[in-house]
Order: sequence, then structure tokens, then C-alpha cells
Amino acid sequence: MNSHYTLTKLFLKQELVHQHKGELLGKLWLLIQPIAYIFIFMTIFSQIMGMKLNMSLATNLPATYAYSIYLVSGLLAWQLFANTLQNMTVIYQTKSAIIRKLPISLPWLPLYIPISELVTYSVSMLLFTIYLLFLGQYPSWQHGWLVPILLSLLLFAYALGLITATLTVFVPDVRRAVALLLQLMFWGTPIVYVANILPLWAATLITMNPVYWAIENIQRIYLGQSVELTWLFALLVVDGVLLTLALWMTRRLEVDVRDLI
Amino acid sequence: MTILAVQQLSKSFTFYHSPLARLKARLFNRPTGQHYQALMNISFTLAAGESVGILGKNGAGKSTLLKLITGILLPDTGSIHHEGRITGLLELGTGFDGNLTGRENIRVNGLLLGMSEAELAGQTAAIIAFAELGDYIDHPVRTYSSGMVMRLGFAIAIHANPRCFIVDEALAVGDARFQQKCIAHIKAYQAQGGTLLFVSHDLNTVKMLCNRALVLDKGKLLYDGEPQQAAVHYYRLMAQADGASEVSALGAQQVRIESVQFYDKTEPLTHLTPQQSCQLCFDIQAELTAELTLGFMIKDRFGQEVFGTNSYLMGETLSFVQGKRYQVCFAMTCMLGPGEYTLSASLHKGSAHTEGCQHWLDHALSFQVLAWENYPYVGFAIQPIHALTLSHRSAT
Repeated sequence: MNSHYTLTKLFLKQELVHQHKGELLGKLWLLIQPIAYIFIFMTIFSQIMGMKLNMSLATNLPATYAYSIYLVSGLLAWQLFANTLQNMTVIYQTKSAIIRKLPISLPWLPLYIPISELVTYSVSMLLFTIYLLFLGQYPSWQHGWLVPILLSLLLFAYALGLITATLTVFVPDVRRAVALLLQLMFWGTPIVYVANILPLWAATLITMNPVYWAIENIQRIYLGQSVELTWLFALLVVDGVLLTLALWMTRRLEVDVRDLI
Repeated sequence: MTILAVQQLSKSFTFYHSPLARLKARLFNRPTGQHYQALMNISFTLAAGESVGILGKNGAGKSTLLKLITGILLPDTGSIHHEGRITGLLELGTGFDGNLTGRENIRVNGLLLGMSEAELAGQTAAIIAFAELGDYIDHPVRTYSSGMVMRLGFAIAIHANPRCFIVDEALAVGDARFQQKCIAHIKAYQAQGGTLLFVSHDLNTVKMLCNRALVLDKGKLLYDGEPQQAAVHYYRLMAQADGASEVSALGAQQVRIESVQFYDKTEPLTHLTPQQSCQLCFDIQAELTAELTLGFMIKDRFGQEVFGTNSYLMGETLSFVQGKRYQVCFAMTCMLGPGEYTLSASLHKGSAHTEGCQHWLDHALSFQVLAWENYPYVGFAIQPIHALTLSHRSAT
């Protein structure tokens, strides 16, 4: 066995590079997808929905694309979270050939997933930033908060993913439940809509959602509003608790996971 | 120096009626499922340079043991300590990506097996040469035949240069010539002081490659010692004689082999000489009326099966009547090379000694074949040569 570091690097390369082997455009797909994505949301959505929702956003941004910026910054972060959780949930099935043959550490094995998703996210964010530069929107020091916020979000996805991955080995239905849960959570998080259009009870309910804490903060940064630090710290505390639980569970059930895979 | 120390190793699998029941039982420590004990109290050590075979029927726990040793499965109780890298054919082709070329897969597989970048750089050429894939090495692995994939997997595994190499019935790689090449490579690895753990149903290969063998039966270590004796235990398991007290004889024994002896016409022989005419005679006591097959197997001192046949294969039927004595003789010419041999005999129904066994005698007879001074051959068999000619061929 090589060091965990070498193996994570190898898995990362498989995920990001080897996957595109044999394709005509290859690694370019890493760029093409986010370009199309950003283009659609920044141009089309800003025309259709932007005008109606801009009133609800307390921002100094020009009305034509304030909503689009809100939408894209939120959507990209959501995808980072959702893809990480979804891929981690089935990690033991995806890598079953390796688990059956090599004595690899179970919590280390899926570590490449958040990293790989972070790479994809960073590419999208880079393109998004370039787009914003064209619009005359320059990043401020506020954007530095993105780093701890994104890491806390990824840690949340990783810890939750470790738990769902183990559960999936025992009860395969969990992967479907996770897909459903993600759908519900997506609409339960103000990404497409704005929180203050909700009735009070619903607005209170969504503040219980840790993903909302991270995404709302990211959207605030892009709208030029101040970051809610309580949410960041609350998420870090949740991360700590969830990660402890996840590692305990992984260790406790490792024998069975290996027997069942 | 000890490479591997296995102590008091036990492993069980538990079956539950529902997946949720398993989850509850494991999380809250309430075992409720059906228990299956795969291994029980296994202890043994492996010294550097040793080659140990593992024998046992299907389901005896061989694969479970290997998986525990490599750390793929975790034991219930007991411990496993090992020095250095343990890899094996268990991991043949692990993580091969069909879209990558053979060359790229060498890198992926090598890293997974624990090779460093430096080792990979040094060994890649040797791996490619060994796998004999030619230009295919730069084609995607999905275009390979299964034999090519196995060859590449074997080539990487054997060049990963582990302290202990585990071979799990995977020598059926490629054609006979490639298999010989693999065996030669394993022998070279042994000669360099490599340690080998070898699982196979092929006793001859075990005897050829191993200086020690373990026999597993129903999760227990039945025997740990020299391969010749291990093979006896294994045969006994195969003949499904569980309660037999004597190791070397088993079967219903209502028709018994009383004695076995070589004769020169009428005189018993103390030894044979190459190309000698002789008779191999079995004295048989019948307490049952039956039609049976009488067979024998000659093995050399390494336990390699040199020659065996039986009356069934020769197209003969032997009818025995209750309460009578018989002598059955095979008239033959000794074509064995000089050496020590043992002979096993069996009396059974049908074509093989595993069915309806009446009497199975291991080591029924030991004998030597002695060569005189001007014996004109080498080797363990005699190939009759009728003529030696020299003729002139014109150049073309």
C-alpha cells in the first residue's frame, strides 16, 4: 500500500483526467459545461426572472443582473455540496473493486471526492469571476470569507457523506433517499428564490438548514453585503459533531462494510 | 526473521434476515443473526524465504485467510503482524481502467499495489516485456482479451517486488508456455529470498513451489508441515473420510488390500532397475461381493505424481466374491529413472478413488529404482530411443 496521499492523488487524477480519456474535447469539458451554465443563467434568467425578484434583494448592484449573480453564486455552491454528497453516498459501490482487493482506509478513500468537486467548482468560479469583471464587478476583500465558508460546507458534505455511504452498504435504499432529500433541500434553500419572500414560519424553518447558512453567506458576499459570522461558526460546530459521529460509525461498522462489499 | 505472524485468528460471518437488522445489531452490539464461523483459532508464522502452500476443500476458509492477511477483511479476534509489503495475485488487475492504455494502467495498478514512482520508473520496461503485449501496450485495455489482461496483471504483481507474495489459484494465466514463465519467475523470486504464500488445488504445483503446507478444513488448521504429509491430509479430506483414525488408510474396507509387492516372476523384489520387467501384485481380501476398480499412483520423493492408472481406465472390470482372497497383478516394464518412489493404492467404484471408496492406502509401498554404472540417461523417466542417425542435408 502506498501512502494515503499518493492514493488520493491517483483517485483525483482518475476522476478529473482519466474520465475524459478518449473524448475528442477531453479536459475542455471541464470548461465547456460551466461556460454554458453561467451563460444561460446570467443572460436568459436575468431577462425572464430578474426584474421581478431584484426588488427583494437589498443590494447596490445594477438591477439587470443582480438576481443572476445571486442565482449563480448560490447554484454553484449548491452543486458543490450536492455532488459531493451524492458521489460520497455511493463511494463504496463505485470503488468496490478496490475495497475488495486492497486494505485501504475507509474514511480516506472518499477524500478525493470533495477535492475533485472543489476543483470543478473553482473552474466555474474562475469563469464566473471573469464574467463579472466584464460587467465591471471587481472582487473585494470580502471574498476572502469564501475560503472558510466553502471549507465548512465541504466538511459538512464529507461528514454527512461518510454516514450515508456506510448506511448505503447496509440499506441500498439510502442512495435513493439521499437523491430525494437533496431535491427537497434544494427547494428548501433560498437559491432560486429569495428568503424574504417566504412567510415567517417558512423563513424560520429554513434557517435550521446548515446548507442555507453557507450558501446564504456566499450569496451575501456576491451581493456586497456583510457575512453572518454566527452562521459560519455554527456550521463549523455542526461539522465537528457530525464528523465525530461519522468517524465513530465508520470504525464501528468497518468489519461489516468490508464483509458486505 | 519472521515475515508474517498470525495468532489465534478467528473470523465469522453473520447473516441477518434483513439489512436493517444487521445495522441495528452492529450499531448497538446485539448480535441476533445466524453465525457462520469461517476461521477458528488459526496460528502460524512465516519466516523470510519460506514458501508455504495452503490446501483445503472449497469453503475451507483459504480465501478468507488470505483476505485477512492482506487486510481486506478484519478478524473477529486474533492478530496479524507483517513485515514489509504483502501483495499478490489476489489483486490481479485491480483498478484496471478499460479506457486507459496498458502502459497507463501499469502506473495506476503499480501505485495501488504500493510501488513508488521510482520503482515504477525502473520496472515499467520489464513489466511490458514480461506481459508480451507488443504494440497493444499503447492500446486501451478494453480492447484486450481476458488472457492479455491477466498477463498484464501478473506482470505488474510480480514486479511489485513484495516481501511476501500471495498467489491465489491465479496461475492459470495464459497458455502453458506463459504459465511456465510465471512459475520460473516465482522460483527466481524464491531464490532471491522472497516469501511465498500459495493457494491452489493443484497439488503438484504446491509440492513443486512450497517447502511447507497448511491444510485447512472447515475453518480449522488441520495440518502444518511438509507438503508430502499435507497432501496426504488433503487427499483424505477429498475422499471425505472424516473419522478415520489412521491417516494412511481409509474407506469402507469390506474389500481390503492386504499387501502390495513387486515381483520378478515369482520372487519378491527389494528394488527395481530401469527397463526391468516386473509385476506389481496386490493381495486382496473380499468380505463383500462387488465389482471394483483397483488403481495405483507412483510418486517421486517430492510427492510429484509420476505415473498412475487403474483397472477401469485400462478397460478391465474386477469382480470380487464375498469371503474369497485374490491376487491382482499388473505386468509392466519399469521405465522410471533412478530414485526413491512411493506407491499409493486404492480400491473403489468407477473411475476415481473419490467415489465409493473401499480401501485407500497411502504409502502402501516404498521402493527404489537403482541404476547401474553405465545407465545412459538422465531424468526421472525413460524415453525409449530406437535409433540414432546422421544424414547429410544439402544447403537450400
